[in-house]
Amino acid sequence: MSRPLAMLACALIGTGLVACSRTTEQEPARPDFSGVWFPDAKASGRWPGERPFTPAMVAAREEWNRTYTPIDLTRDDENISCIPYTLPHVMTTIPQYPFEIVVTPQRIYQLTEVFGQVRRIDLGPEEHGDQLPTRMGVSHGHWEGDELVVETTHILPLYAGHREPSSPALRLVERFRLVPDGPSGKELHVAITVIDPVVYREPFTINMVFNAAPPGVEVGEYICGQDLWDQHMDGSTSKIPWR
Amino acid sequence: MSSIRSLIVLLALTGSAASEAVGAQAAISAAPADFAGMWLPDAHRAQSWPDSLPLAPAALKFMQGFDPEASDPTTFCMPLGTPRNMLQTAYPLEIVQTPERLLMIVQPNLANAEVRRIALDGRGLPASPEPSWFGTSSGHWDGKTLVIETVGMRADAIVSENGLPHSTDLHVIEQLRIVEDAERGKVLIDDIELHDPQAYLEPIKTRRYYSWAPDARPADPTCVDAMWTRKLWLDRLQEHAAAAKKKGGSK
Repeated sequence: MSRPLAMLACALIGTGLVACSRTTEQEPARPDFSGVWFPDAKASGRWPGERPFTPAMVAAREEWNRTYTPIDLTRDDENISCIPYTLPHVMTTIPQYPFEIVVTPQRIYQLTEVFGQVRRIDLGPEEHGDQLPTRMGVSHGHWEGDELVVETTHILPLYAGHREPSSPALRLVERFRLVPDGPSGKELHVAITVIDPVVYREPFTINMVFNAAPPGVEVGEYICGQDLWDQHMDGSTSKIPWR
Repeated sequence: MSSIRSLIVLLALTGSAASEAVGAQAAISAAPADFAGMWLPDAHRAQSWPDSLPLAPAALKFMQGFDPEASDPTTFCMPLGTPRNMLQTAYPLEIVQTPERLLMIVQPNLANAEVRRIALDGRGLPASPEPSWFGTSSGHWDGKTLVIETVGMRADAIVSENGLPHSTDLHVIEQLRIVEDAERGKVLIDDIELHDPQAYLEPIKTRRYYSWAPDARPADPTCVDAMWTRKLWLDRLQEHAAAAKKKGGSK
């Protein structure tokens, strides 16, 4: 919108008829990430096989292995126990499930089908305050040209993905980019840089590719543990681990 | 008024450099009400159930014999489901509004965050919805009130923690509106009607109030974490201790 038009619209809005957004005087049109996306297993990158662990992390892994191995994957897998993902695993794990992005002027939402998780990326000024760490952390996005650059901190150092935790110092820098005519059609590319000086000697980047879902595809209702609840309702409680 | 609003939308949408964000904002602003943001349930003002609920015999029998340890889905980290997720007063409600949809997010348990997707595009309700925890919803505007109708809820979900049941015929009608309260500021009111001829002799009605809380953030709830922690740490440590004892005893 031209500046005079924006000012006129804002003046009309100023009459109290409708709310005036602080985003009214806007920069140029931005790529629209909204829609349903599927991870592209072939085109996406992976976590590096040889990660640059710090000496402290090497020692911690050895201690963990002494205490908890051998691993029994029928019981020692977080996801089997309905423990949802933390970042960056929310973005880098390649399940068969899609996620949906909903764009609003102040916040971008990522709604995953698996575990029904909700990620929020704030587009306003950074106001961390006293935030407790959570699985999704605190994400702020800003535009650099056509790329949305998202920085995330305050991630819960809980998830032992790859048998290694993150530290409270974990920081992610993600660059979201829309590729309208990629090899699979409309694609969303996200370059995820993992920065955690307690765990890794140096940052590394994982390049993820997501494909736009065909029209009509919606994110479904995913309830982890539904099968166990159903067995309980059928009266076969012996199959339920916690009963 | 509507013509002025249309003019504003037109102004917002014209111009070679018009931003999609501005367009979306203008469209939301052009909606009769903007519910977007965080809301905290006001437990003190939540209407109680009447002393005598108009229950059909089967529903009355279920409620009288209700054992939360055995039959409350949340005991097993299952969702509250609709409409219990709107009736609860412990967790914040986050509303995401776009011109086409209203999303209502409640996070009682992060493994199963509850997202209600309410279509605002006039598509109506399906004739034979597949039963789900959150139901299938469609909304339409009545002045500044959003009327939301929801069908297709699983019969193993319950309506309240004391075991008020419903059947798959449950039809929930909500009227969502914002009022300016002199004492409390912006308040969201949800008038909720439960229609279910199989379970209720007549519709059950109640109301919930929510306070505007733009700075609130949902926490990571702990339902499955507690089980996982026990399994990962306590049970495993006990196994290791027992193994060490056995090893020591065999020497």
